[in-house]
Amino acid sequence: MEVKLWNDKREREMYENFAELYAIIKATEKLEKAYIRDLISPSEYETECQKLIVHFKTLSASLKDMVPNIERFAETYKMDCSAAVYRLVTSGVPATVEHRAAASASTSSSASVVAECVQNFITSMDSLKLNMVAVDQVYPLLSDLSASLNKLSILPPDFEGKIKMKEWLLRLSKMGASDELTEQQARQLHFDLESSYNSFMAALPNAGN
Amino acid sequence: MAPPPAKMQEIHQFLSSALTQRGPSALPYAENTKSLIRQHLLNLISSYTSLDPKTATFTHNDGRSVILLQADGTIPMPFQGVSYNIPVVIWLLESYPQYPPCVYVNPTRDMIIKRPHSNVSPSGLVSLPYLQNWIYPSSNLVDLASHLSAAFSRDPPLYSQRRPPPQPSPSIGSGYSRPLPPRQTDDAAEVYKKNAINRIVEMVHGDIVLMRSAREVETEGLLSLQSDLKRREEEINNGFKEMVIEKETLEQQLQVIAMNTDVLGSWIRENQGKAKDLLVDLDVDDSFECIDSLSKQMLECTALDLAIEDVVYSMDKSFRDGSLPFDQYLRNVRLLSREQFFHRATAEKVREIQMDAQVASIAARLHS
Repeated sequence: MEVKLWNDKREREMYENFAELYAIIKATEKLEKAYIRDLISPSEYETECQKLIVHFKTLSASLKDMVPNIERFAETYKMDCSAAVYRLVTSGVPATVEHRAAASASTSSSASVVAECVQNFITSMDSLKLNMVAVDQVYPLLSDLSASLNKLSILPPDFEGKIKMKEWLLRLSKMGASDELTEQQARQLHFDLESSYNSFMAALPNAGN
Repeated sequence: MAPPPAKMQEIHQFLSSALTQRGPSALPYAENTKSLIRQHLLNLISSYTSLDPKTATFTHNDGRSVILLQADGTIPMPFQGVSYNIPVVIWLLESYPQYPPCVYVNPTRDMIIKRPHSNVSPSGLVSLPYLQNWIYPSSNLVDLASHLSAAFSRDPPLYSQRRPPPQPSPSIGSGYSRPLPPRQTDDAAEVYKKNAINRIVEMVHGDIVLMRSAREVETEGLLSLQSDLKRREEEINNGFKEMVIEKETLEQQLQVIAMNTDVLGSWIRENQGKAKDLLVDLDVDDSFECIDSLSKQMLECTALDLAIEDVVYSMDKSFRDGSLPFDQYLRNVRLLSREQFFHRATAEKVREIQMDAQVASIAARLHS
């Protein structure tokens, strides 16, 4: 006597749904592999992936009572589909969307650092114009400017502004707090700040836009 | 007069380093007597500041050379109201202090040992009742020096070599001039002999030192060669043991193989006749048959599952090679996976039923 997989209509419907879930997970695994191996274009991947994710969410919602844990389901039927499970259960969005979001986050933080650099440049130059030339007045401003320049990853390590600010900080650290820059030194520092600022603006991407 | 503290400190350091030497240059005294030897020498130098402790090479009568401690210098000899200094060497032999030291009168170039002397031999060796009656541990160097001084005072062992007197005039009494020639001759011969002996002794001593160095080098070479040979012997022994063990292992393996050969031979002899009974048109598919319907169904489901897996694998290759479009590929993967699920689920269910059946049969067997 052979064993029947189902004995009534309801049971058959359940196994039909299980089969569909199984097929979606398997297909997603193949899709992830194809995307990783660069066998399909990102747009092609994204379209197909979105479709599979939508199908998966719809089906798993209706099967919530019978399949409360997808990992258990995959384990029961001996599926080796870790990439698919991550994509469908954990991430919930295609890899292209996920990585684009990460890039956006990086861009936004970069913008705030750029604004910080500009602010520090302008503050330093204005302070010199106001004849604030004592070491304990100038040093903190240059220190902040140097720190913000170092935070910006788009600038090269040998960027003019970084080197100049480091030299000035070294020079000021050898002077006493109440010592003042000579008129010649103040003019030189202002000149260095201005040329560094111009180089900085030129180094920014899409400055013209 | 006590010696200056600096000198005593120096002597202390010298004795400490000499008596604590190790290795080939170690002094040959018994370890438990070294502190007493040190004390004797320090007491001697404290009382007789004209003596100095030294280490030097002593040559025994049988030719052996050995480095020993000695006290070298002079001992005061009061004689007729004047104090003279007699040069002596006190050798502390290996057996000291249980046995007496060896004392020599050590004349300078212009001194001659009196011949004969009651205590001093022509070669300078001193003999005293104190030395002959040496008692350990009460006898010591200070008392020895005191006895030497007293003995020498009674009978001085040395006198200066005088220049030959002017030619005797005939007018002087013949009795005075008669003994001169033999004394002169004896003195000259004695000096020459002593000088010759000293030079020979020095030459022999130098030769012995050189020979000793050469022998030491040779001995070290032989000792290192011996250690090399010993190490090589050990290696050869180890190699031999390993070969013996390997031989035993191989013999055991040979026995196992022989046994297996016998077993297989027996099987062949038993089954040789059966080959003739085999049908020519044997059907491979019917060679094995499942024991029951559940097992048959299990076999079918598993075969179908694996077949679909192979198909999907082939499709992967086709898609990778570019001969299968992506949309077709993914659609077919999904369809085949759906079908595969049914087979896999059925197999899982059959397995559960078989397990239950096994458990039931075991329980029934236990119950009966």
